[in-house]
Amino acid sequence: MIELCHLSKSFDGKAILNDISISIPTGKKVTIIGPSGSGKSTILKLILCLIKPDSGKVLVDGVDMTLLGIADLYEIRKKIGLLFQSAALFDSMSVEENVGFSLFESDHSYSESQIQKKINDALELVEMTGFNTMYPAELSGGQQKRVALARAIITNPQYLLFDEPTTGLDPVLSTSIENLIVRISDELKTTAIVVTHQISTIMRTSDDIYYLHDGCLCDPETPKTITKSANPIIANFINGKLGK
Amino acid sequence: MFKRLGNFIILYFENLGKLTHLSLRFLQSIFSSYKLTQKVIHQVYMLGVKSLPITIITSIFIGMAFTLQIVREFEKFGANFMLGGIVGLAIWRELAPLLTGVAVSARIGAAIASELGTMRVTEQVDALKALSQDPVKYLVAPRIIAVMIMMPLLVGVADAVGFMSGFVVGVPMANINPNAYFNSALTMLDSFDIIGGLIKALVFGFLIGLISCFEGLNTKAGAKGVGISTTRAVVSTIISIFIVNFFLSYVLF
Repeated sequence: MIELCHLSKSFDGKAILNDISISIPTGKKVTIIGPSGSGKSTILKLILCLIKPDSGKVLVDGVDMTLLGIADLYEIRKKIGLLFQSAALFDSMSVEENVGFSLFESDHSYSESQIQKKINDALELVEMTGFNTMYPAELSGGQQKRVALARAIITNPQYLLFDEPTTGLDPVLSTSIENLIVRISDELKTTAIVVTHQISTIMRTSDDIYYLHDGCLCDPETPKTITKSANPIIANFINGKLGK
Repeated sequence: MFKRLGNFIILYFENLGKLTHLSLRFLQSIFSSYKLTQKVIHQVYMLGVKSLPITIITSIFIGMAFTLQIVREFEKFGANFMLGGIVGLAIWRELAPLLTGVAVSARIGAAIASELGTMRVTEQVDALKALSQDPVKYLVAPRIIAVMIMMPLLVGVADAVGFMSGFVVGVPMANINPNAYFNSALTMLDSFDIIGGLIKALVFGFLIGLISCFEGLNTKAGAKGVGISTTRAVVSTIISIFIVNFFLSYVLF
């Protein structure tokens, strides 16, 4: 379970997150929505402790990430996979070097052939078989995200975080990535936290939906209730209307 | 004005603190990095071996220009027989370490800072952390160690090339016996003149690696930020080398 307790974060004196609390039970697919710049990606970075909160706790399986030393932090991060908005593939490495990075760079008991099999399995899962020797610069945006997803899932993390997984992609690719998120979360039985402002992604990938507004999280909705939300801010956002 | 000065002082000490922290993390990571030797060998080739041409060209012309000036002055005093010793002294103790340090700072320092800076702004450094890899172990340690290995080797080459360039220009100009050039070097200098220069190179290598990695990892604001951090890395490294060189010269010789 991932729990954020009274989390606050500000940048250059501007409050981005203001005392937010949320519990994400194991196996759930939770989506955090909100306008651009509202602090959605910051939540994911706080969960991984890539940035430190000003106050509050980030509990992963009961362990407060904010109190951990560097070695323990890297150990806990092995439980979490993150798909970056920009894919963030290592541009000097081939697709298979990117996907197998965690295995090549950790002290484990896998043989070369086992690692190769895991890479091929992960690429097959994201429908990128045969792209092994290509470099990120040779791939389209959607393909880069698929490879980044393969890289995130190769170690079978318990938690998967998706930062704007479909932003900038055409509708066909978006649908394909959304299906992938649902399929991988179900097949690998991972807890998924998706951050997005794409309505199609919200509808297809969520069990619970939280709206981030002025640094605070509104009460959760579901894909069924959100279209008829009583909260005018959420209703305006979903219906694409300009609101307060 | 006082506010600006105050901010500058705070920023200076903040950066100094971060740089010290990074150097301590580097020392700690040497003993716990995974596959460190492989990464260091890769960096030695990428950063060091490719710096050989610039080192050789720099030292050839510095050796020749320095000898040119010395021969003209020595002729006035009839001290041509001391040529080899003076050229060796200047090149081994000061010129080779210092100018190789400057040339390598420009080439390697810029390369490290821009590479890490680009990785920083494209979230590749965050991706490393998210994949449970410590950037200090994965990126910083191999680079600093590689530069520390390569700098003494490059300065060794610069010592030899610079001294021999002096020979090529100086012996015919001064009209001395070629053996006299080497004999004066053997008489006036001892092995610590070379070893001292190599110790300087080791320290400069550490400074080049550390400062360049620090600037690269602290890059902000996109492509412009990469440019700024690359410039800062080169400028800071060169200034540090000149300052540290003075104190090392005082202590070592």
